[in-house]
Amino acid sequence: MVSPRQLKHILGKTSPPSRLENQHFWRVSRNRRTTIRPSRPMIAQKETGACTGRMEEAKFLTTAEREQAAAEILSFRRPGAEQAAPYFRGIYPAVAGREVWRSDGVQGRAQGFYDIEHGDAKAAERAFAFGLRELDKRQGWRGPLRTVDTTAPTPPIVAAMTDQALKVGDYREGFVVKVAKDYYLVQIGTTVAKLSLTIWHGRSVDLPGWIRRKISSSIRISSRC
Amino acid sequence: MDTAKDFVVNQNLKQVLKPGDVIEVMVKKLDRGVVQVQLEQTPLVDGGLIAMEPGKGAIRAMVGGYDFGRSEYNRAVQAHRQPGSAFKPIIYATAVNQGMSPASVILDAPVVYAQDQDEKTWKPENYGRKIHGMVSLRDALAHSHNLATVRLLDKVGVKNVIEFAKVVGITSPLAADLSLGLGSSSVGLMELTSAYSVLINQGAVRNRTRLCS
Repeated sequence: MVSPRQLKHILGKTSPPSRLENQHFWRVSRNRRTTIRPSRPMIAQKETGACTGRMEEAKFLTTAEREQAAAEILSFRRPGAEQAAPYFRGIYPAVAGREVWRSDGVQGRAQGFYDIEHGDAKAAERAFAFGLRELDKRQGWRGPLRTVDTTAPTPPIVAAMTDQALKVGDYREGFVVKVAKDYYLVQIGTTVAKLSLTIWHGRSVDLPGWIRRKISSSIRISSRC
Repeated sequence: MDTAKDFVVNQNLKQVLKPGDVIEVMVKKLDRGVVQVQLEQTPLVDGGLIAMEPGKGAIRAMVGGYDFGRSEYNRAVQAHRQPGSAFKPIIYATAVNQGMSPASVILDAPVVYAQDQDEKTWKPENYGRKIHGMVSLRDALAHSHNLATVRLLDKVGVKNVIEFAKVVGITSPLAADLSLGLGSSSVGLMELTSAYSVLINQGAVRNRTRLCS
């Protein structure tokens, strides 16, 4: 049982003790609302460390529990909105916070509020990324990222998230396991996929121009696949 | 039996990739366990995007770069670039503001300006070095004629254009010379978007807001 005074010492604010009776207080401290930006993880870790340190001093946490809390990865993003408009969030919370502060005259720590249409933001990010990729392709293909030894006894690991289920439209790294007559087999995690360079934008065409620039001009390109 | 054509294709494929090469692909099709992918590459080029609701001045979407994890530098609000021909509408809007109309004509022909500092001359050119003669402001803007724009800028006055640009939201310092007609002065994307929102609002200036509802 925590007294309101002790709670204020730990969390910096008062709250009905009954609400916290059966909870782990370090979780409360970890999940409390904060203005810490996700892009500044060191500040978040520092504050969490100070808070759990005070809780350990007050005998609410054992050293093992404090270390466990310190080892956990902190997340200050709302579920489902992790990747939405990161640039917007990175720039505007502080500015918006000042505006809210002025208009409401609320005493206390200013918080950043923003309201962006996630659907619009996602659509803009997709369209922008697609446009940049198409623009980049005009400069030609830069070749494979690197080469791994497929004959090594330990299977090569080429990307961190390759075990996730594949979805149409996903961008992944993979490595070529076989060169067939008119296609490649590419291993993406545990999945083997077919890569056909003779199909481009849904049409059967020659090697795409942005890839063709990479290879020697002396090589004949077939008129059709 | 492989035909000669097949052999050529096979040689091409071996030239492009070999076993062990790590590549980036996009999943194009998933059909009964068969995965088809398409060769891709992460772009080196970067940029920014701002989508503004002109009527309210609300920012609906902002993208500051290809990948926030790769670079937190926000090109939408922090970067300044030469706008090039994207600056021309401000010059033409200044002309309309001074009483000219889209049907007013201006000469699109070679022109040479002597520079004050030295004996060198400046001779702007159109894209493709074409000359179009007398053109309406509407056509000159639509086809982005450089020579007509520089002449128009000379006619309406560089200082007037700079003043007008400040009114519509350009806050970056602008060079007070005729190269302004070709968009030589760097501006931010937010400034340029705000200026364009004035055009679509038929001249009404809205303060942009970061809060949308």
